[in-house]
Amino acid sequence: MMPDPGILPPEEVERIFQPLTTWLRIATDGTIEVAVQKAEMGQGVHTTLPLMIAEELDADLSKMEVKLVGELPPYSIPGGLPMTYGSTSVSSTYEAFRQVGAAARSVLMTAAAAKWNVSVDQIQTENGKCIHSNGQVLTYGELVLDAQGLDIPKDVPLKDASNFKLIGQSQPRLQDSLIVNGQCSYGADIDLPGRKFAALRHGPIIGSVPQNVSSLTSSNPAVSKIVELPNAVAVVADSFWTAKKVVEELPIVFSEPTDSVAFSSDTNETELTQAIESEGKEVLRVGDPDTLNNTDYTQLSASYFVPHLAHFPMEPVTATAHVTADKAEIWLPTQSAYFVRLKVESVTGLSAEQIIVHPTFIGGGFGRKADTDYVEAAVRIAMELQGPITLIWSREEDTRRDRFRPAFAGHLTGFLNSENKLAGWIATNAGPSVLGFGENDPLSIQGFSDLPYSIDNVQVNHINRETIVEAGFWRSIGHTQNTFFVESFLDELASAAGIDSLQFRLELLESNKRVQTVLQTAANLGRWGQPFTSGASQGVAVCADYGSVLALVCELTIDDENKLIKVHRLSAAVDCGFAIQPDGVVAQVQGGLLFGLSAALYEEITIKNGVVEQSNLNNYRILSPRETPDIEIEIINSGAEVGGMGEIAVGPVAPAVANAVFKATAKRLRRLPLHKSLFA
Amino acid sequence: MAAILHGADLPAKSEWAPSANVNSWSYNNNCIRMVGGGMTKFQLNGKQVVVETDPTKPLLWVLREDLKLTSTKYGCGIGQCGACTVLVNDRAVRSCVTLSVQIDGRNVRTLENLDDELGTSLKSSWIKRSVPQCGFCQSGQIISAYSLLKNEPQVTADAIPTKLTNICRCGTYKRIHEAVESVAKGEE
Repeated sequence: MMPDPGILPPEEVERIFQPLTTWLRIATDGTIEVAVQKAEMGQGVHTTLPLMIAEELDADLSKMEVKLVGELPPYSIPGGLPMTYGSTSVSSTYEAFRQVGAAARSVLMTAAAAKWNVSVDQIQTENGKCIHSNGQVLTYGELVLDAQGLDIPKDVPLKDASNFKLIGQSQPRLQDSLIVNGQCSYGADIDLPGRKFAALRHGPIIGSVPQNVSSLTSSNPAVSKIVELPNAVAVVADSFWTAKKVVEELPIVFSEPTDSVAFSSDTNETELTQAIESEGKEVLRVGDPDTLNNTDYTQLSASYFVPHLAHFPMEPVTATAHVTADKAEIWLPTQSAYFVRLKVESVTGLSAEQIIVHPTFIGGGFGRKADTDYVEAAVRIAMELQGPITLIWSREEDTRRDRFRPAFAGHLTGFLNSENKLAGWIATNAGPSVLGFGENDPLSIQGFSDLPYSIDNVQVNHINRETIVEAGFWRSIGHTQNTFFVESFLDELASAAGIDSLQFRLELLESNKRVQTVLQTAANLGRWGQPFTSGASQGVAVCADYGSVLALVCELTIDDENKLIKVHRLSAAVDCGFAIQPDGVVAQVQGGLLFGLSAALYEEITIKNGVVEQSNLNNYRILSPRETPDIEIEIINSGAEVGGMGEIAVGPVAPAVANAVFKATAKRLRRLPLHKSLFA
Repeated sequence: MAAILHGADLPAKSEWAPSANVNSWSYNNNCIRMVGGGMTKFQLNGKQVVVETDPTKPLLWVLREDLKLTSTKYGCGIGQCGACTVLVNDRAVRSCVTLSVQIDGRNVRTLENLDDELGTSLKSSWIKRSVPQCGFCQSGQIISAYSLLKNEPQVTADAIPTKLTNICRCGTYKRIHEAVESVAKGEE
């Protein structure tokens, strides 16, 4: 409802945002509000996307505010999924958002030209102002009312990169002031009148169903309701702490689904490891791999395995929902408001127009917050009550009922000719589909069949194996298993050929100068062959995906006495085409490397007879802050198209570490996590 | 009703607030007195507050739910991750395992009110280095850093990574360490 300007003090009138285009509103005091539809989960889109608009708009970045919106019409751009995923946020908006800025600038200049009665070519823009050639100035805030209703041009010519003032130079993050002052609001921080809290409990066995909810009661006066969900029981109370305590103590009887009871991660490992000995579905054929069965070739085979992993974001999954007969409103951290709305439609029977999704800042996504299981639970609970409820999964529930990075096995057979050159390889992996596409999931072979190396004869196979454990998206998805398999095997081949690991890869990259350059840069940065720490061993790995390239040199020592793999230094070279926010690129590499290192060294989810055995930090080990290595990063602006940076640093860490461990110990570790494989 | 816990009935100190310096709690004859009627009275961000609540309700939830201060986060609930860290008498305490009765009469500060010279220097250092990524752990990080520098102002750069144990899943540790080191050196 628009307040009547006649009864507001002038300074409040100035702060009323006037719509200019779909994405922009401008207040008469010059503050610009930008809608950002990609989810902010630490990767910095909250700054980078407005930055792209501000550049072409010639706006003062410090006067920009961001409104987080769901990626739903009208906040849609063509191409891709309505989701924050696959390191695509910047590459998918780079063109479109600069157009948004340029079109808005054009409209404001047109308004100024009309006001000054001059032609547009007499006007320049700078820092939120239109400037007449005779020196007169009108701020965007002074122009917005005149600009409203003017036609918004399409395909406005964009700036040449040489004229960029903001893009390409690191800017302060727009979210940081909120964060450091304790004012940044995440999913569970929302407050609504009459809101209750809910906690839930799933059964110990995956897929189990509560069987005695109608007999459950609570004498706690703070408890409003006990709610039956398809696979859990929820307690609604005035306080989350109360709800959690009560739900954890309720004598709930859960079913014991036989197929879940029959599932254990160790038998799953055996099955996958056996499965990869067979052929599976061929997904790639290069050259003539049938000729590899040649007695002149030296043949080398290896099998690898990675276990289930939890996302363990610092913010456990949560959602606040309010459902009435004809409306549903939901506030939550989500990587896709679109899929949330679809889920709410399906659970409530309401239509899209009756549903409002409010995305919040996300306290760590990593792929977990693209799921909608927690959304379904919140909505089902809200349907049982009049007012809004905030559902928070306890850390234990968040861990036990995560949608894990699936366990995967890989088997590679390589063939070296008489000159110790790689004649070809046959690679097979086995595991479930994260997209639910069965054996046709491109993510199952991401980083397995799309390598930058020139290998003459290749056959890649995939074996799909679904289990009762739902597979989830875990930062860099296919790379989290396949890059470990591939980059470890390359080292095994190099070793068999008697060739340096770096050299072996450089030769296979002769036809791919872009990747070769990144690898050589990483080798120089990491001082390949001359470790910084005396007595340290080095390992290398490469990842090329998302339109970007990253190469990594890991340097470590083994502390046998204290049973530690001590990573001293990670040296990474990265080429994302063009770094729009260089410091943001550095941050994503730093963070991705540590995320990958934690999984490489320690992380593992084990499941016994359908029961997930890990639940919290006391039994799911992750990297501790004191284990942070030196991290050095070099960015190469190759001029290629803008690529993604959110995930690429994760996959290469495990093989780089394993390769260095081999140098240090002569032990080839083919199963993650490495600390367990080396010391247990 | 007042309940007094003695000796062996006391929860182990390590389960209360792992990062707290337990000398800052005062024990009367080795017992905790649970105040009858569930009224907890304490200083919060410079103001006296009285909260009527279950004395065993953790301070984390008193802050978030009774007092509507949400900068302090729930990350694990077992005192391990540090997202819930607040200052009690200027020392870092993990509020998810601190019972409200334990802060009766104490001075509690949260990130919503860290505007003294040390707090301002830390925040400025954090912003200058673009420390946060998702930011969820950062209130605990800044509070822990504050406590470290307040109580161990001579801490060396090498020791900082061993003394700040808060978990960050986004991996901002390098920047946190640099930001804290800079303030420790008086550069902010």
